[in-house]
Amino acid sequence: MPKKAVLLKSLTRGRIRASFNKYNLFNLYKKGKIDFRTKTLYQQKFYAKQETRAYHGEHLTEGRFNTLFSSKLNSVAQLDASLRKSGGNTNNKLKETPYILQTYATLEKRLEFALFRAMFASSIRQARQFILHGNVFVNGIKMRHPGYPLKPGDIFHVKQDKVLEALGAKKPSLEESLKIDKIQIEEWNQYVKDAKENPKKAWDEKIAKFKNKNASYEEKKEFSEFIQQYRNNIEKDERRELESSTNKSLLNKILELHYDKLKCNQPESNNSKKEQNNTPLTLKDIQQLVNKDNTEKLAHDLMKCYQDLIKSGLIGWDKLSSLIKDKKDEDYENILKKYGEKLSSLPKDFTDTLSVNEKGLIRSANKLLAEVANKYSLQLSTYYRQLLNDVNSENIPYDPNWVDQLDYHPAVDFDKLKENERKEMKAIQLPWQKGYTYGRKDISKPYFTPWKPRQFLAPFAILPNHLEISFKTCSAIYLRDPIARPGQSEVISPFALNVHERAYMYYVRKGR
Amino acid sequence: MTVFIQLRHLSGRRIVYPRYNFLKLNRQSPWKHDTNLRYAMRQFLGPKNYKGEYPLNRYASPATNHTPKYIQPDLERGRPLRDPTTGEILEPKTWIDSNGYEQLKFEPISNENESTKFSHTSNNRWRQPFPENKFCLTNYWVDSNLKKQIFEDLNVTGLSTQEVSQKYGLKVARVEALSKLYQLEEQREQRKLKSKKINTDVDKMATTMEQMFPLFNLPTSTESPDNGSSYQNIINSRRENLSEIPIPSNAKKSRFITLAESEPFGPLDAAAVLDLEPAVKTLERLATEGEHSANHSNSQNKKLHKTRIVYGPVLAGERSQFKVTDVPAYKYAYRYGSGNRDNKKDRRIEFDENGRMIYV
Repeated sequence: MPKKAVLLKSLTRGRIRASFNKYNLFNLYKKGKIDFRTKTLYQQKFYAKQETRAYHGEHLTEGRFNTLFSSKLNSVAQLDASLRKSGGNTNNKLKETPYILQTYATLEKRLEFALFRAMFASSIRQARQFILHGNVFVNGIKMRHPGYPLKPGDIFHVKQDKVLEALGAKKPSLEESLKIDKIQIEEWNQYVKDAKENPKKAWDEKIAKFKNKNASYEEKKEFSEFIQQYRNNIEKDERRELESSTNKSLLNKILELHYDKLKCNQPESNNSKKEQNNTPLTLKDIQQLVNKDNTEKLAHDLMKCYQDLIKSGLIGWDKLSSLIKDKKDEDYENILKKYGEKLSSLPKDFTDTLSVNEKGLIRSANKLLAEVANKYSLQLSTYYRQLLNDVNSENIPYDPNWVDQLDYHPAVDFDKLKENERKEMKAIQLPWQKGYTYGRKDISKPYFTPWKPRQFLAPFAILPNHLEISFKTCSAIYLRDPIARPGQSEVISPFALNVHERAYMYYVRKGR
Repeated sequence: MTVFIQLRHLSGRRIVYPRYNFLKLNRQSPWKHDTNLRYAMRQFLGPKNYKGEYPLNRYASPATNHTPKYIQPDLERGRPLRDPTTGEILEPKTWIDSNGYEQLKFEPISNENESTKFSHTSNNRWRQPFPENKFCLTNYWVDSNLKKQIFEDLNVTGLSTQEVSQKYGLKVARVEALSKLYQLEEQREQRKLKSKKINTDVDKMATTMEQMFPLFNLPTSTESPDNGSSYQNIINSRRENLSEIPIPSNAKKSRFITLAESEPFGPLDAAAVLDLEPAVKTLERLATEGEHSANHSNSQNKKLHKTRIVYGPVLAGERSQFKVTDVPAYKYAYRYGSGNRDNKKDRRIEFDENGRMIYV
């Protein structure tokens, strides 16, 4: 029978326990050096024993512990004589071997202790519970005895749900969860409102927050994902623009614009045909087609090419309208596209119908167009490279339309949700929590879902030397009994050498 | 004349207050039954948000950069709170609310930053989980890539455990354990591909835990090479000591013998007295133990578990043959009466192959 668990986490007593509890962390944090000066020898021994036993096997009674205690302490022998340093030079001096820290080494081979040291349980008492409830297996056999002494090479594993429960955050009750969701929804709506009112400010704040944050892993990941998404979008844009900047597609664009303009300028009656403008596109219109930085010269060249085409008379209104005349309106784009292809590739049956002058003009226009397209694609790639560099240095240019993606959270009927959680939990539609209540994505699990680590895990995460752990499979292998070697003790203990020394003296006393 | 009187029978029940300075309670609401210790704990934890988290406490979130976050109350003088965005040290202050009662608030301390303040720490302090015990250090984590390499060296390249152990600087037992665990992890990955039922939360848990430990084959952010050493030196210093062995049990007890003054007595004589085998033999034994070791073969393994079986003669007219197998009597036989140890207080126990406890 284990000892009754009374006042384990008392702040007044301030004992350190083998547990991940936050009260225990504070007790550990506030603990100072133990003062032995005012005590008699027996008081020192007894006090040291009290303190150390509170951590090492607090649940074992003194009688049970005395049967386990062994006065012979484990350590190592150095076989390689060249590594046996000695005396003299301080750098070369062999470090002290903390033999006396092995006082409680015998406990470490017990299954419950190994489970706690492997971080599969958050305290020794929880480890015992896991074992007694049949969640622990040693060498594939269910082991229900917390005191089972492990032998080197033994492999043990715990059911995954239990480990997730031990290391994960506490699952909130439905009431707690709804209370948190209410606040989350209120805060989100307030944020959306502020962002819609002042998008630039909200954007700047968001970027600044992401940039500065490096404490929280989740948010850092979120930000890098966001940047990755942004980079992908840039790359996609680049590909699309490069595809539409070949000479053929540029010609198509010119033709389309040209035809649209011509169509608009066309008077209802055909009387004033002669006064009609033959070059409807201005330099400004052409500039729209090549609209990246430093592309003025390209626009001029493109204009020249356009003028050549006009001069050839192959894209006059008569010609185009005769092509499109009989077809429906929707098809004109396709027809123009085919015509543009004809113009750029100049197949034989088409060139045969043209005069020498027309042929010369169209060839020079094509040549010019190819040059422009080449230069423009170069310009495009430098522009996008610049943009990507900016993103790499985390300077994301401001996008004025970003608030359009933000939506207010729809109203949630919390009473209904309380009555039937499984059915109604889809009402929660926060961007980071879609379709479930806070911490209760999978209601059947005993831990916070989706899983997140419990708080204050970091100070207690100690990787033992005598165990090899695999968290993915929740299994571990007991390598050997913990030992002492120069400068290191494999028994995990928060107490100093002098405290262990007195505790050891207490247990090796005569007349035991 | 001064007289020193030793104070005896000191009561152990003294309130354990923090050793560092902390704010004490002042005038408080008569309905509030607060204590200074609880108040000190609130100063330690920092404010709690509506989700029940302590965002200001630096120990609340797990480490994500393979650099452990162990407590350092002595170095930070009891100030574990940090501004989550700027990383500034926060200190508890009091202010008087509208009812005239004191309330806590947390403000940054100017001119003090973590990097300047806590950089002067000893070599291994960042690996030391408890400030009082400098001998307790966290181990290094072997990541999945190295685990895979070890597994392939043993099972694909066909190296022996001793060779792999020498190659990476990991002990033989650890090399075998790593290979075994890698196999288990691979089996799980296979199962994951086949069925969708496998819990993916476990993967998240595994990465969270792994990120809290320093890596065996990579230096952490706190370690930087100085005095002409390189990163490779740092990594080399992590190699385990492969030439150490546990002290033989015979050497743990003291032995008294009488020697003549003229009788020479060297280490070999001492070894003979204590029944210790020579180091060569020990090393050889270590090299042949374990399933992946150099001289290991399956036939040898079978030899160890040899059981004696005797077949009876088949007489004329008999249809079956008797087969007699050696089994320990305590497994099948019923013992009448009680043995000497049966009524003792702490009877020796053992566990059978089904995991049940039995008295021996």
